[in-house]
Amino acid sequence: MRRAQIKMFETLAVLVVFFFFLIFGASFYFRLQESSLEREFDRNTQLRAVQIAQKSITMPELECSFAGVQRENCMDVLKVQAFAELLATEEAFIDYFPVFQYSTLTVRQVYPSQLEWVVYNRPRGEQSTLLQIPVLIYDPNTNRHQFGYLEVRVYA
Amino acid sequence: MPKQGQMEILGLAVIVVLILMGVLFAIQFVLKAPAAQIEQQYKESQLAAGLLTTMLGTTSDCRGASVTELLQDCAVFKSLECPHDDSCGEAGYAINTMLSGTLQQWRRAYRFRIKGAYNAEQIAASWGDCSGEIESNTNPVPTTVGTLQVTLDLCR
Repeated sequence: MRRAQIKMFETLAVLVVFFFFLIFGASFYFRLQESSLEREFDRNTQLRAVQIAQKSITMPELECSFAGVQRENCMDVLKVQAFAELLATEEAFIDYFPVFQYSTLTVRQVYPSQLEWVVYNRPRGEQSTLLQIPVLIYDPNTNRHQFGYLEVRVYA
Repeated sequence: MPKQGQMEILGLAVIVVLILMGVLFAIQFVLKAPAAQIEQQYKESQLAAGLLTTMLGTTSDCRGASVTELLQDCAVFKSLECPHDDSCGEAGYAINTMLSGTLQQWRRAYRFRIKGAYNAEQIAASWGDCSGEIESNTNPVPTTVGTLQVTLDLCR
């Protein structure tokens, strides 16, 4: 009778230790998985920001081209202003939503003077990723290239 | 008795399998980490390259000359008469304004320098601590006395 009780306690102790390790391992695993998923989510938002920024600086609605040749990292200020006005209309806004999604696109001029144009604005929630790409802002009226950057804020 | 021995061996085998699973799991996480670092390095080198190209292509306030043209004049003749300063001073002012309006505002440490001609070498700018890792980008600017090496270091 006593031997059987000892055996039972032994089995119980082994089971307790086993489940302790199992729960500890599982919580450790799920915590790592959670942080890995968060990282993956952040990475995807960042990639989306890069995609939107690349699309914006190469799209005919905003880029500057000379004799049909597109200049790299360059935006035409007249196109920027016209496009911002166009996107203020509901119809165009809906058309361009698949391209820009939930984001805010701002063109900021730094030199020679500080100016800014909000091209597209569709915020959602608090969490966002910010990406800045230096661009030349070409003014066809004066034939000058101003220095600035395109700021893309993508909402998660 | 032999049955008990077999059970113990089985128990040991289970422990070994569990340890191996843990080690494989840890290795997977350790190996995954550098990918993010490579991505970051790529983004920073793109930023440095984009900033340099954009800055050099910007039209200055000096007779419609670009920053590249100002640097070329600064390195050789200093013949351009700008409204406020000579070509070296004007180039230095433009570069400082552009870098402080972008990198400094984004709280990114940097170091800008030029090599290849004494006058142009006086144009330098820096902000923040640059003692750690550096992502560097150099653009060559040809002049009649040789090639200027315009370098922008982004510091981490």
